Amino acid sequence: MSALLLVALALVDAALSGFRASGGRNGRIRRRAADLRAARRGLLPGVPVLATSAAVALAVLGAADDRGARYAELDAAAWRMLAVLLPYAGIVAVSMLCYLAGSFRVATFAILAGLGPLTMVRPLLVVGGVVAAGWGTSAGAAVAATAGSGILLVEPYVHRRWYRTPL
Amino acid sequence: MFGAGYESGQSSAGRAIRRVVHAEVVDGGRDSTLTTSCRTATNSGGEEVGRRVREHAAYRAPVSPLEVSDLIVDHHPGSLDRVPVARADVVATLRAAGQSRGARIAARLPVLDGGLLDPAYVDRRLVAVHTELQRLSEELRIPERLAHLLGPLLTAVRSAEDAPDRIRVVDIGCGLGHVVRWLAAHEVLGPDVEVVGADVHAALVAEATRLADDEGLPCRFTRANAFRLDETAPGTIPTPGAAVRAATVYISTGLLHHFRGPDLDTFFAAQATPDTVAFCHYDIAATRIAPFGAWLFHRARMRDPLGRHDGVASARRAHDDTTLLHAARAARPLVPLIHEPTTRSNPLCTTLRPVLGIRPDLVGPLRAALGKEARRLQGVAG
Repeated sequence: MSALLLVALALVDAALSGFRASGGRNGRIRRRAADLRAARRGLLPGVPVLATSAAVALAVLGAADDRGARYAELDAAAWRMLAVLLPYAGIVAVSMLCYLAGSFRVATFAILAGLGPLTMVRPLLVVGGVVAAGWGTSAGAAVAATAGSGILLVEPYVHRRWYRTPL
Repeated sequence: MFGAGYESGQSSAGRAIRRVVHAEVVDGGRDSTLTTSCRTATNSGGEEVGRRVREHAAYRAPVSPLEVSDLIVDHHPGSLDRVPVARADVVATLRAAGQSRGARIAARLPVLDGGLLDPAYVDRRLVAVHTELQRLSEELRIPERLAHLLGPLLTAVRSAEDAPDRIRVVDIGCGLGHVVRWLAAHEVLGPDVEVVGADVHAALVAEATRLADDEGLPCRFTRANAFRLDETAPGTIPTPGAAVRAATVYISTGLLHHFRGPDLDTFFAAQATPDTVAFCHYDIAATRIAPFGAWLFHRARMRDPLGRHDGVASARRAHDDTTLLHAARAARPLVPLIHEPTTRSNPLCTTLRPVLGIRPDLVGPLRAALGKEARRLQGVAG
């Protein structure tokens, strides 16, 4: 369950990273297709990041003498990571809902008090999640560090790969 | 910003004709304004500005921050031809104003022989910055906010006995024309309304035109001098001067803070033409949190250091409501009004607010068209 939640969070984050990477590069007004394409481009590196993280998890699991204990250790690490990331994700979701469904005044509030600052603290939250996951467990730290660093690299990668200059 | 900086980027009209640098000095509660016209055509221009700014700095008085993008482009006031800009002048001006970060940004700009800024690079850079600024405008729904007020304003215009058959809305200092293109794409103003974007920067006008053509939007863009709206401007589009001259309603977003002192009055006075029924200029709400908000938002959303720098500077340059209301009186007989004054608005919900001008006989119809929103209007007497 914890692994599924983390995978879901990572995929959503990767898609949003792709969207952010394209931000400020396409001046057109009607951009739905371009935005969806940017989100898909975020998933392109996001999936390998997840696959790499899963491979690291399987490796540390396979190297353990007591795989049951190691699995429980990783599961606990995953829940600690979720304890940091889920509240953040919840606030982001509420802010996005307000932005998309609210009037322009509510949307402005959602951007200024929510989505703007939340974007700024996102790297700190990811690092916090990695630290929490890896607290007292080198196996958890290895998996979390792989996933965390990878997910932070999605946006700059997509930006450099597809959105270096205005379209 | 809360609001802001982007606003800055949308407006090169004011900056380009003359690089007018105003150092506002507050001394013992008495405001005095220094206006220095800086022509980069002469190498001494920047030094002159620097000298004047240093003189005022000697009084340890606060000086309005300069925007790098205002300094790196210059046009001849009459012909609108591009005037070469010396990088050393820009750097010296920013250093003299105590803006070391801005000076470092300018110092990294590439130059041609003779130390003149590479105009092609500057154009590309400014188009990129303006595209990033458009993102902020989109996120804060600036066009939607403007349309929310422009709709009732045009209803009032149509109610006039001498209402024109065809209403022409001109966006001054349109930059990449985001507002104009948004209005055209969403067709919110009605079939009797033509939307035109005007800017002095040819590269921005060309990019705005390219984007509009790419999407087949019913709008057009032209080069024009914001200070000389009644003159025919040499343009790149057929009859550009006519498009600007015949505006029924002038609009802008993020332009006003580029004008200081007498230039702000001049800007409004230029709109008091027989054809003009109203204007609606949105600019950064000068709240206490605006500079911090500008920093945070530009940091989160913009990549180009030039855009980040100018975004914060523009928030710090924002005019308060009283200044705008008094300056807008120069457009007499149009009646000046502020919508969503900063004293009555939540700064987290209102990052930009407009100063309006409307013919006296249309103030009543405007209030009627606004309905409950009319309570957010404030005139000179409050």
